[in-house]
Parts: sequence; C-alpha cells; structure tokens
Amino acid sequence: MTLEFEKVVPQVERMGRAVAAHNMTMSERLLDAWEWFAEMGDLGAIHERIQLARDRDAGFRGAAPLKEINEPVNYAYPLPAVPPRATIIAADGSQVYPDLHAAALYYLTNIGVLVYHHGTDALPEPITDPRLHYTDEFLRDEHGQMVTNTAVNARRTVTERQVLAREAWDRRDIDAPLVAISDGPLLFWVGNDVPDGRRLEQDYMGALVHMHDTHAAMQRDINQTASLAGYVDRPTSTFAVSLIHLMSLHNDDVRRAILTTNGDLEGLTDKPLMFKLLRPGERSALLVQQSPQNKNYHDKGENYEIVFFYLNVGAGQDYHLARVEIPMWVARVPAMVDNVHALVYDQCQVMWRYPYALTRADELAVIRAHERSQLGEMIEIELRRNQQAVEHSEKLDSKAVRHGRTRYGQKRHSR
Amino acid sequence: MTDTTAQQPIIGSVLRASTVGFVCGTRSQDIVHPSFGAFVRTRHGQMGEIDVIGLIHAISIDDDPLVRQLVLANNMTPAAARDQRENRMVPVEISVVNIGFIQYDYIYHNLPPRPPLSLDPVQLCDDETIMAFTERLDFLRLVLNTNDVPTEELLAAALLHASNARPEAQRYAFLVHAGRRLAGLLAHDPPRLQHLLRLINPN
Repeated sequence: MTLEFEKVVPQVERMGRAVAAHNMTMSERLLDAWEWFAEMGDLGAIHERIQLARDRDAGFRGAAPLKEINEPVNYAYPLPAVPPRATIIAADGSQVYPDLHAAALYYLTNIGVLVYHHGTDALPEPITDPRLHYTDEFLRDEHGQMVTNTAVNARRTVTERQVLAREAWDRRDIDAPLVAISDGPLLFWVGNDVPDGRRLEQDYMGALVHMHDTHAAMQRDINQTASLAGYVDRPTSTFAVSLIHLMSLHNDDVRRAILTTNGDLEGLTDKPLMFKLLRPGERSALLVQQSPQNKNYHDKGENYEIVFFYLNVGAGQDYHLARVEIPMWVARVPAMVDNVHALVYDQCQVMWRYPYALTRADELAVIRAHERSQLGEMIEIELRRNQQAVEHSEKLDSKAVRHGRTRYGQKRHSR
Repeated sequence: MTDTTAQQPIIGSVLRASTVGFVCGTRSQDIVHPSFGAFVRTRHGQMGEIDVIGLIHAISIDDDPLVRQLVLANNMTPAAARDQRENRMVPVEISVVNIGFIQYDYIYHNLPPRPPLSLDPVQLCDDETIMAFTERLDFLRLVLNTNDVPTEELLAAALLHASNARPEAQRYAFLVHAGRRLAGLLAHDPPRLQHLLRLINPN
C-alpha cells in the first residue's frame, strides 16, 4: 500500500500552522532571553549562583564559565589568525549492524580518517580501518542475547577515538600544531544495554589520554601542540539558555523542582541566541557543561573535563552554528584554543559550513548499500567454500521480492 | 606491431561496450594521456581473441555532489584540489567509437564481431599500430556514418594523429591522400568536405 496523500495533506497543513505558532512563541522567548543575557557580564555573580545550585544539589545542567580563563559569557570572541601550517586529522565512523535475517551473524565497523596538511600542497592522506566482528565475544551479551545497535555504535565511537589518537601519535614529529577532529560530542557514556559499557568507557578515556600524551610528547620534543576537538554540527543544546534561566531566578527558587525545566524559556535552544551574538567567524566564551558525566571526566583527571564554545562557521551574511568541544588541556592554553577556532573555521570555508577533513573522513567511512550487499555476498561465498549451510530468512527474501531485488542464479536454500 | 603497444600506458578499463563502440573508465588524474581523436585498442589476454581499435570521441567527468559543494564554496585550497583529483574515485569516462579490430595480428577495417569485455584494459595505440591501421583508410566511411559524434572534428583529429605517427617526410603525402579519399566520400556534401579539408590542411 502506498502513502495516501489525500489523508496526509490536512495533517501537513496543521503541522505548518503549528510550526509557525511555535516559532512566534520562540521569538518572544528569545527577546526575553537576550535581555537577560546582555545583563550577565558579572562573572563573579554567575559563579556564585552556580555554586549555590551545586550546594543545593539542584540538578543544574546548563553551562558554566571556565574559571581559569574567565571569559565574559555574553561576549563574542573574534576569529584569530590561522596558523601558517598545521596537521589536521579528522575521523568518522560507520557500521553494518548485526542482522538476524542475514546468512551469518556479524557486524562491521569502518573508521575513515583524513590527514590534511594545512598550509602546504601536500597530498592529504586517506586512511580506512574496517573491522569485522563475528565471534560470540562481540555478538552476544552475558545472557547470550545479540548485541544491540546501540552497543555497536558505542564500540564504533571508541574505535573512532582510538584510531584518531593512533594517527595523531604517529604524526607527533611533524613540526606544526596538530588538531585532531572527530564528529560529534567528546563526552561519551553508555547505558546499561551495552554489555561491556564500563570497559568501553575506560577504553574511551584511554584514547583521550593517548591524545594528551601526543600533546605532551610534541611539547617536549618539538615545542608544538596537539589539540583534540569534537565538532557538533547544528547543535540543539540549551546550555546557555539554562544558564540564563538560572540567573533569572531568585535565590530561593534555585532548587531542583524549578531547574527541571527552563521555565519561561523552555523550548528555546542556544542556537538563535548565538546567532544574535556571533558574527561569522566569531566564537562564544569557553563554557563547561554541568553534568554528572562531565563531573565524572573531571574526577578522572582535570585535563579531561570537556569544555565547549559555539562557533558561527558561516561566511558573509550566512549564519551556521557549530558547537566545538575540547578537553580542558586544550581549553587552558589560549594559543591552542585559537588554533582550534581558526582551523575549524578555515576548514568550514573550504567546504561551506562543515570541515573539509571531516567531510572526507565521513565519505571514507560510509558503507554504501551496494558495499553492504557485496560484503554479505563475500561472506556467503566464504561460508560455502568452508562447506557451511547458507540460509536466508523468509523475511529477507520476501523483502527482496517486494522491493524488486533478486539474486541472480541463487537458490534460497543452498549449500 | 604489438610489442611496443604493450608498453603503451593503460588509460582505463572497459565499463560498457557494444560492437559499435565502448566506454572506458579511468581516474581523474589518469587523463593526461588520452586526447580527442586518439587511436586506442582494447587488450585481450588470449590469442585469437579480438583487440578492438577505436577513436576517442568524448571524455567526460561525472557530476559529483562533493565537488559541486566545493565549487559553490569557492574557497578551494591546493591540498583539497589534490585530494579530490588524486585520492577520490572521481570516474572519468572515455567514449570510443569502434573502427576496426585486430585478430591473430591481422588488422580488419570493419566493426568487430564481438564487443570487448568489461574490465578489458584500454591502451593508446603506438605509432606502429596507427601506421599499420591507417595504411588503408576504410575507417573514414565508418566514422562518417556514425551518429552522435562530432564526425568532422573526430576524423580530422584522427587523421592528424595518424599523420604525426609517421616520419615527418611522409606526413604531407598521407594527409593529401586522406583528403582525396574524403573528397570521394563527401562528393555529395561540399560544405562538409570543405570544412574537413580545412581542418586537416597540412599547410
């Protein structure tokens, strides 16, 4: 049965009206938020209020200014000069999830890396790191259940950071600042549905430590720096709005019940606020997200607490917001923050709104439908070569028939 | 005839083919060698199989969303340009019209009985093969009757390639001879003949 558009059209019309009404409400909330934001120049008052929320265990999940740097939160910070030379390493990952209906149980992760030598004509280095997992150790949890897609995603993320750290370490002798960029936030945690969650979190932290080691080695040996950044495109976070909400409260109202939502500003994200604040190329103040996960990072080592800034990566009249996350060891050094700021913006100009190196890393990592199907066929052939029965599920075969996909010359149950 | 051809660079591999022509694919940084009107041949490993001789009539680069975005951003760096050209699989398609074939080292000036196979390597013909093939100019009629190719420009480019494959002393005579053959073939169409003769005029 195809989609009956005459039944959908009235719903689309209602949706259009609802979105318009929502946006009008958000515009009003934005004006209120902006007025409060403009008044938030006193860093001492902000720190005091956040401390009050902490003391009362009020569950504040917004942003806090970085104490060591003390940048006013309502200022825009201009685009610094881009370093003449730099090594930019970007990594991204992709996966083929395990499929109960496939001929064999397996999953595959593929990490794509592009090493881009900024400021030179050197040919960028594309690298891929595919890993096929087919043993019970990877496919089953302790109860014998098949791993979920969430678990595969978590493992892929950890591998991504490990590969990024490895490639950075291998280039620690290049006499230029190094910036390693990954797609997505740097904070990583897993839920209970990931069987080896604690180990993954340890491995992830290990990758961050490896990156930090690269920085330490470069500083010691060649007086250069290695930074790490997580690039979040089109963020929907509300960290700054939550801070504004906190600052708008009376002292007595700083309690968990009130901070569960952003009160009158609920629904408003940081994005429109930052568009009012930041011109193309400018970044926000360095901020720290207040969350149990980030506190956990801080407790593991002060260098690993995650700091972020918003960056308008647009050019001219074009606005496009990104959130750039960096670990504390980068945030504490203004020159390293400047390098990340300038190089991420420069990369976005090559590609128009998104870092070039990350675009290519994504392209290298992505597993297309025909490649997935080719991998499945390769595995089937290998199973047959090893005298293994290959059976397709009824469901998969019926899907192939419905969608017009057929396997030429192949019987459904064959040896 | 085939010894030196074996040393010629491979310009691509057959993507799709028919008895009248084929398309070969290559990577973008490999399009230094092929040029419009050049003589190419497919290479088949087995003796007795057919090596098709053809003329390149079009070289095209497919649209690519990433390249399109880079063009729009208008901020290309030399490193990104090299990355696009040398690292990425941006396929270049070289279209060839068949004009003959070689079987058991004999040259035939008509369409091959079978098309080349997918992935057969495609090479530029060496001077020796071009000279041998163009000793007879039967392929002129074949090209003149081909649809969907710029016939006059293609023939002129091919004849100039064939002329350059010869020792300098023979080039003038070759082009004059080719002009005479064309005059016979295009006697009914003087404007087309005149245009073609202008294109290959050795003076």
